[in-house]
Amino acid sequence: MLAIQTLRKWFRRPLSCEDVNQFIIDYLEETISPRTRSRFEAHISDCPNCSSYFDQYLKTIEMVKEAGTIQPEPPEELVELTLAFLREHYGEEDS
Amino acid sequence: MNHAEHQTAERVPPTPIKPTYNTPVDTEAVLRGDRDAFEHLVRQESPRLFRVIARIVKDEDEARSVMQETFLQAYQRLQSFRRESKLTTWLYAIGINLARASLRKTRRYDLLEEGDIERLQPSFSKGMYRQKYEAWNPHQLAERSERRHLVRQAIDQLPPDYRMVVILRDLEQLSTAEAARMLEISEGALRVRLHRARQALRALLEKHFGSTS
Repeated sequence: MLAIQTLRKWFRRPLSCEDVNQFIIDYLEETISPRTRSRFEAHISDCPNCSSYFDQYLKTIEMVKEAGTIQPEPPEELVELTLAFLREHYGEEDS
Repeated sequence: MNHAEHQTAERVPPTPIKPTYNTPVDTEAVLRGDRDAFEHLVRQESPRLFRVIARIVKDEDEARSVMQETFLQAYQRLQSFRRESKLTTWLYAIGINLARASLRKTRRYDLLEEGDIERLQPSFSKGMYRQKYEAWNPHQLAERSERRHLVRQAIDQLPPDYRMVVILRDLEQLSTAEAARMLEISEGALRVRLHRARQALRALLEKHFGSTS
């Protein structure tokens, strides 16, 4: 009975900034329970430091995605060279 | 026909970089060892596979050679494909392993190490951040081209295991499940690594974009 009460108390306590930090990825990937999600959002809206950190984290992802729009250019002859390479070696495999 | 139109009409079209093979690859035929079906897979996957490998090994010639070896190994090991994932996921797992092996041969010393990643994580005292953060001002975030350059530099500094999760999840925008299968790790492990990688990138970018710069 005492263990259940302790557990309940633990689940009701407000999240710390460190807890919120650990939940960021699960929050974004939607792998946390609705209850934890509400506690996460409540903390972010009340804590300016966590709110700013979360904003920087989101901007980092945004900028990484933006950087991904520059793509290494495959050489034009890439496919043909690869097929030629494979045809040369299929033979070895079959023999 | 004016001069410009005449030139256009006579111009030989360049070989397309991204082939337009819209018909799906016949996985069963590939698995039976049908070369035409396998070559269809090569044509369809080459551009993206090359891009992923090039981002890992950071050298185009090496990327081309790793990619060719990937297709060859895949063809030779088709019988070991267990249908637990998509054929392309299995193909990329082979490519990523070969890219990782290539990196081990040419170890670079300008990369961050695990200890640096730890140092770049935020620190806490009694559950609170030790540092004060301020939202980044979009107007401070440099010119778009400069910003992309700074971000690419930061990604390139990450140790390979961290760089790979960023490439697959944030650049290629694959699902967590698919990226985890390609890297042969659990989804939980992938999320932990991705979170640490993003936090390290945030810290690396802070000096350029933060108000404390």
